[in-house]
Amino acid sequence: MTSETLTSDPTAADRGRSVLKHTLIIVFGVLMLYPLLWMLSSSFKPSETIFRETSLFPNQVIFDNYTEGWSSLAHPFQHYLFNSAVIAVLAIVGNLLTCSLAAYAFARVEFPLKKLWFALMLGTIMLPIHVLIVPQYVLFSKLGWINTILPLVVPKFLAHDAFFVFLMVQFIRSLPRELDEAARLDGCGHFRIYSRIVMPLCLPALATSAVFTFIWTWNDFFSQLIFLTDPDKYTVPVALRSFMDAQGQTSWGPLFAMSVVALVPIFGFFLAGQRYLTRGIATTGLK
Amino acid sequence: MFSLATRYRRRLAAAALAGALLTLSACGGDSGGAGDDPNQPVTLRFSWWGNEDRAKLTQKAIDAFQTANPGITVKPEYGDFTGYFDKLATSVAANDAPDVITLGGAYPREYGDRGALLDLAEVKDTLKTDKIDKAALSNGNFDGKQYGVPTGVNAYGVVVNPKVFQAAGVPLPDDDTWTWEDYSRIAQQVAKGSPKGTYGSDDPTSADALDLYARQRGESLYTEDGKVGLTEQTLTNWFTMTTAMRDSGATPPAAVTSELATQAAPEQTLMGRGLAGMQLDWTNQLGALRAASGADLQLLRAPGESSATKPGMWLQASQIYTISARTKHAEAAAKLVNFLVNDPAAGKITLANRGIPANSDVLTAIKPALPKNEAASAEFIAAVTPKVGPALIIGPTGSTESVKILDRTNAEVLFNRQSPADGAKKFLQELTAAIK
Repeated sequence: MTSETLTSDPTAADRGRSVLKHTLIIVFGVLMLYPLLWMLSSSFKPSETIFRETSLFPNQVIFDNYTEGWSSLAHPFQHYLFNSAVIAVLAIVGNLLTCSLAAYAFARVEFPLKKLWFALMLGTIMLPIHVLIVPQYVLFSKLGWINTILPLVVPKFLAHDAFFVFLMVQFIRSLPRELDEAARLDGCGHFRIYSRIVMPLCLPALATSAVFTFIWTWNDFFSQLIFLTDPDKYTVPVALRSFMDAQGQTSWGPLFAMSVVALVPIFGFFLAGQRYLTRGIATTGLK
Repeated sequence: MFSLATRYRRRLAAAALAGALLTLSACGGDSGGAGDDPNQPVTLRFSWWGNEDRAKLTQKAIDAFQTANPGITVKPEYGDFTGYFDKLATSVAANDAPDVITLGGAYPREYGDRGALLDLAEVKDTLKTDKIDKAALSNGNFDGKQYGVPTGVNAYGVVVNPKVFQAAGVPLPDDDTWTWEDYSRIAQQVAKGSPKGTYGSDDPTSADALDLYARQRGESLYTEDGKVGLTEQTLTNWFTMTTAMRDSGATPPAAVTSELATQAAPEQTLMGRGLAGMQLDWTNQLGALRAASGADLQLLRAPGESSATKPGMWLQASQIYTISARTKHAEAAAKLVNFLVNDPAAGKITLANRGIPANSDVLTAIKPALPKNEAASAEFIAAVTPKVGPALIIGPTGSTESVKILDRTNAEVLFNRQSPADGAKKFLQELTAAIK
């Protein structure tokens, strides 16, 4: 869209086309946003009317769902937000640190069987979680890590997210090797080249990884559900499920209200990182 | 539960996963526990599904148990229904199962058959079952082994909305004598007298309804030896009735029905939205449906009971407490379960949160304290208890597929892509293949 506005001549025909295009995009955007808007509006309705009055505009706006949702679980909601935040922050730090190191090695260092290791690393992306979860659980349970955040965080410090390694490998490969060679002539070793030359240039890829790690960790329900058993350690996605009841009496209002709250950090993080995100995707990989 | 039946069966993926995982864990199932020292302090892990209200009530009961049994600490593990079984399957496969496990429906059989559950005969001196309703108790008994104790009972019947009936000018049916023909006719009358978008009934097809209908004809959805017991003729009759109801406007058009089939929450059903006069459902849904519809809904016996060969209604365990085969503290776990199901002190705390208590003494003790909706369910169950048929035969492994197959077939039939007879044939074929 930016390039469109920059290059377009302000002739009438062009303007007409542009208006049409934007109208279409906006309509489509609203369509995609509808479920979210509906959830937002439902969070202001009394629970029992949510499915009886499904209109987007509540007849009666109440804020009880927010106060009730915040305090009706075993802990106030900030407890779960904090639990989630700790895991998300550690996951980001771990991923940025170790995935970039692994990526540098794959992109710039020669070592035996490099192609094989790279293929194996990519292969791990394709393993579904259902195959991994039991062996992982057995391993972590033998280590005594069940019911701690270690199973969720330690793997991130071991470059466990192959997707980000791959993303950064592609990015680093696109950087001119001359820069490395110049640094080498000046006496830099691998670590110096990594930290002084490659990493600063990798900023878009790092930002992309940070944003995605945050979103994926924040939204991750399954592994947090499996590895954290103590209700005190529940994270946001797991805590949100506590509003649901199999017997039917789900507190929909508070559930929607807290879901809105849970989306705020993601939204904020995405807004902050969006600039890098699009640039990161545009400049990695495909050439 | 078991509108829950729907959701249970929807957990197919989880069940399949559980199946694979349980096979892993089945090798080497030593049943521990017999020799533990009663004076040693023990920590029990107790898992269940449900929301925060249930967690608070259960925690109170646990506190009472811990006060009465110093030396035993109970650590709760709970989550919502969907995630609960994924988590359970994983921890059982990894030999890290909770000591006391809440299950329901076909799960006790699935886990029991694979050696994950303790045969309660081993702890029968601690965990008494003599006051528990026999039909509900049999829902935890497979191949002669008692794997679980029911927390409470539910019945499957008809929920009616008197407000809709009144607005349509139709009197409430007499549930002592009504037949399925009456059900169709009354539904049509209600729909006629109601504004557009309100129906006499939702499409009544569900695995539970089929079982009910089959039992009234001396059949059952599944047989004791784990086969399909429903005949093609019975199912054809059923589909002929439901398609006629659709044609007469008594039930919604096929498009509405298939849309509803994907929504499990009672708040999203036609009854929950106040848009239906009648709906076949479980007694424990009454509270949620009343709150959602804002009407004083009533429970009725299923149609066709009095004219049937055999009564089709049954009492079913709402949830079942089981003990892990690998627990190191079988005695302590048995004590906890015994307290939860047999002690009026526990009953007075949890009331009807896990169904109307199956223990007759507990029920008598808590009856005066039951809230309005639960009291209505309890009253209904007490009224139908002398009239219900034998306990339901729980489907064999693989029967969790039935809901998906039925949803699919029902859509084909309602959209007129298959005749009732063809649909019946197809359903039975697919179901037979699924449980093999």
